[in-house]
Amino acid sequence: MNSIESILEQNLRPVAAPGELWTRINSPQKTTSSRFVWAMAAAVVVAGLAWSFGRPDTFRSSDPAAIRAWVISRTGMEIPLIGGEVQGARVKMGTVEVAYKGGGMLVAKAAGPGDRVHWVKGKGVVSWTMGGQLYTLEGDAEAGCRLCHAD
Amino acid sequence: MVLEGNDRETIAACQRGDRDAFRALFETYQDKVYSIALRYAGERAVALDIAQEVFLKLLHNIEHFRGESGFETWLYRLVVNQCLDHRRRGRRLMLLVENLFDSLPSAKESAIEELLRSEVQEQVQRGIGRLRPEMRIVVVLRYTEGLAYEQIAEILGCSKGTVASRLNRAHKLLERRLAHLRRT
Repeated sequence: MNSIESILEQNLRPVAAPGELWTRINSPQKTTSSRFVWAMAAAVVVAGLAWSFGRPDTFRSSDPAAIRAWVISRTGMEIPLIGGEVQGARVKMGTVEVAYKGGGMLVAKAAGPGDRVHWVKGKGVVSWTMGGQLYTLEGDAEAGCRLCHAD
Repeated sequence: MVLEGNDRETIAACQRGDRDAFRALFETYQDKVYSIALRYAGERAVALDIAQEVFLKLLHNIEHFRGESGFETWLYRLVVNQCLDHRRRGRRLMLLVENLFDSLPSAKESAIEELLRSEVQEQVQRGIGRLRPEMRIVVVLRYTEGLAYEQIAEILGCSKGTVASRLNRAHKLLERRLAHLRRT
């Protein structure tokens, strides 16, 4: 039988600080907890869980129009892909992930109405709702923007 | 902790506003500060908030450090006070979101395996999270930092007997809460 002391020693060991700590100290962030963030977070969690537990349907292509058509055929969701270095898409339980060089974009049905933009994480992740769909971009934001915008 | 010559020079340089010296102090103590915060709070996002605030306070208050206590003891006090003062701000769900995104680039299966592997650790962390703050901080200082009762007493400003008593009560509570782990 393990003693409580040995269980605590094994499970409370020191850990390495994440690299982002220095960045945060140099540009301090304020924590946010608006209702909108909660709603967005809940929607992203639901989308993420759906993504994690379903079996993915994958389509590899560098053609935005082809991916757009494939996503519509699988989910009925219209993602306004027009360019960028797109690599393919996956659908899992109604959630779409578009992979592009430098990151990924997760698209799911939005939990609520209205078009909004909000940063979910201090860096690297932005999430917004548009046209009843929740978009979450992770990775190279500029490259991500080029998926749907010409400039 | 008795400061070595280089540490004294680093602290003196920090007190003069030398950013490189602050970076050196940060590099030396970042793991220690973050570990205490993480083991106390049990959540990565909260631990990052606490560690960030500790180093910002260190940066702004180091000019007041006079060396009457050891630097490490002074720093531990900053961490302990920040932990005890910290108010949870509904971050649990945000943590889930962040963890989710952390796992997105890799295979989902490996994220789930990792989740299962960390189950025991989470149970221990949950058990600790239910302890009263003054009891929890003693457990963290003892088992994460491996500090002696005397050091913990100095940091918390209480007697060695109080430390022993809090730790003893924490052990008893955790023995009951984590009894299933003790049998494995």
